[in-house]
Amino acid sequence: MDSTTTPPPLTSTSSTSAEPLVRVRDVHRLFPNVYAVKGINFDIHRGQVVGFIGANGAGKTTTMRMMATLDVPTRGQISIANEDVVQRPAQVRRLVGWMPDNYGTYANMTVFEYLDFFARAYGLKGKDRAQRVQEVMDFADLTPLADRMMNALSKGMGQRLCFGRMLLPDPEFLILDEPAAGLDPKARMEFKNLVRLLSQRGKTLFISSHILSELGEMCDTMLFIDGGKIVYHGDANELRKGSAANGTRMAIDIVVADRPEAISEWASMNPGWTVVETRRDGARLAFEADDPQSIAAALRKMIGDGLSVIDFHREERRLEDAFVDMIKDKSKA
Amino acid sequence: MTAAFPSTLVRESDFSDRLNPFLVKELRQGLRSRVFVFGLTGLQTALAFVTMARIIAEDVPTTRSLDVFYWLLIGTLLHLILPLRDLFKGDTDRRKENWELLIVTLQSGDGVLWGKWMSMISQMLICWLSILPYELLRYYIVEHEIMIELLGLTVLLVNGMVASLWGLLVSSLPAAGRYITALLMIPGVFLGNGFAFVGVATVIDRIGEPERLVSVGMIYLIVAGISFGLTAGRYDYDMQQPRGVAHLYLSDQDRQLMNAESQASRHA
Repeated sequence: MDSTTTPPPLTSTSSTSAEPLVRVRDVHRLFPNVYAVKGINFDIHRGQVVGFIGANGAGKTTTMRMMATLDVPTRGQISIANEDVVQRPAQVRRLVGWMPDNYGTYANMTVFEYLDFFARAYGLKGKDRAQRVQEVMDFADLTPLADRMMNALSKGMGQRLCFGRMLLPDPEFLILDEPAAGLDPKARMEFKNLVRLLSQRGKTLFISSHILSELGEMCDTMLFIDGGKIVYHGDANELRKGSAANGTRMAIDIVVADRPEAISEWASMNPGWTVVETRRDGARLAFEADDPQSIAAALRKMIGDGLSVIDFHREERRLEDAFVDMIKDKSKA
Repeated sequence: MTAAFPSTLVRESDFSDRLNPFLVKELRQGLRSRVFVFGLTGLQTALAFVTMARIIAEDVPTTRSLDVFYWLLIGTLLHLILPLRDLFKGDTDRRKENWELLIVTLQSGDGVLWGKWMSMISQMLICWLSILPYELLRYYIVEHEIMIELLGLTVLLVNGMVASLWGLLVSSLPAAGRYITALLMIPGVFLGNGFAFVGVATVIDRIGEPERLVSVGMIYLIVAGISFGLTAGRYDYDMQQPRGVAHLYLSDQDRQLMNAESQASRHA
């Protein structure tokens, strides 16, 4: 980074463009005895928040490290803003912010000193450095912790600090490896807010996790990796719909005012319905269609047939279930 | 946000901007570290005690023992405790998780080393300066040769500076290599120190021949230069990541495996 130039404000990223910001083409990573990444391909466009999901050992961290210029693909090409991560790592490092899953702490150092040190290391000087550190501390809600020693921080505070450090050079593309791992619910909520704010400011984020529901709320695109291969690339709703279309049935909770056994009887007489579970006040049924018209028609028929329905609740299909179904489908294929 | 921000943040320019970022960081950490704080205060307490005892003592064996103890205290702090502090536990910056964060800042390896070394020298210099009042006491009250003692102190400081470079080099090694080298290094530092004292004593004996002093100085410069070169080489090597070249030397079996996976991926 040119240390003499004024750093752009944290809200700097320009708007969308048709050309992808990140291109990953036929990337393999072969370690001795471990074939971690097996020919993956994907693009990430400017302004996208992409969730990168996979089980432990699926190849998430290896892929992210290659994108962050900290590892070399055995074969294939990764480019960020048309800069190749292997050929021009210095140029890529100016564009990328990297937040590892495990960051080290420094002894005898306060939160402010840690950020100040990295701001100096990134080449920021004088007033510019002061402004940037303050901006980052405000943004990541670290100002009240400015004088606290690093080794006295909780996990959530530490993650916020690491997040703040990543933002110091105001990178265009942010890579976050398991940022919410080990955080309590409050810290997770705070983290989601930070991601939302960055997304509103036009940053491109690539976030890994093995907790799908968490990423489903934050990300507009999901990328699933399993055994080193990309098994899904699309948005969360499409994944839910896609698995329903593949024969997975939608679950509907129904509560009735009287005679709960009547629901089971009704389901057995109507094609497309299956009883999943009977309950004290109703039942949980599976329905083969998931389009609103079919569901509305089924509800009208239920009422028309004399069932005293007082609650009809379509269960949102969990991403975890959709993911498991998709993996099963892939392995069958 | 809530709390008032430190006033240092609104300065237009800062003297510390002219310094290496690592020097600023290491000084902040180092001056607050237990090793430095306890080392300095412990040295002051011990030197005060030894100097008082030296003033009171009259018989030759006691005064000689106290003199040896005086130099041993200073030598231990300047040669072992301060320069070799990270020898066994390793340098925190060199842990993978911290080092990778430094790599992405585009700092150079020798820049990192220079900042860390200057910080160690600064801390040793503070300790060295804190010894000078005792030297004055020894000169005025015990009537020691102040020039010879100052020369001895300088030798200790310069030896400590070189030892700290070796300390930085060894603390950057993996744990196993670090322990073995560290155990070999401690007697090596004492041995080097002994040679240095003999060399300086020879010069002192012939103090009228300044070219001898220049020769000793040159030897120090060469040793320091080689030490810095070796250590900087190590730091620069580790900064050049990723260094993987395995992709250039793939076996046919690996190539076939990857071709098959690439085809499968294209199909999918």
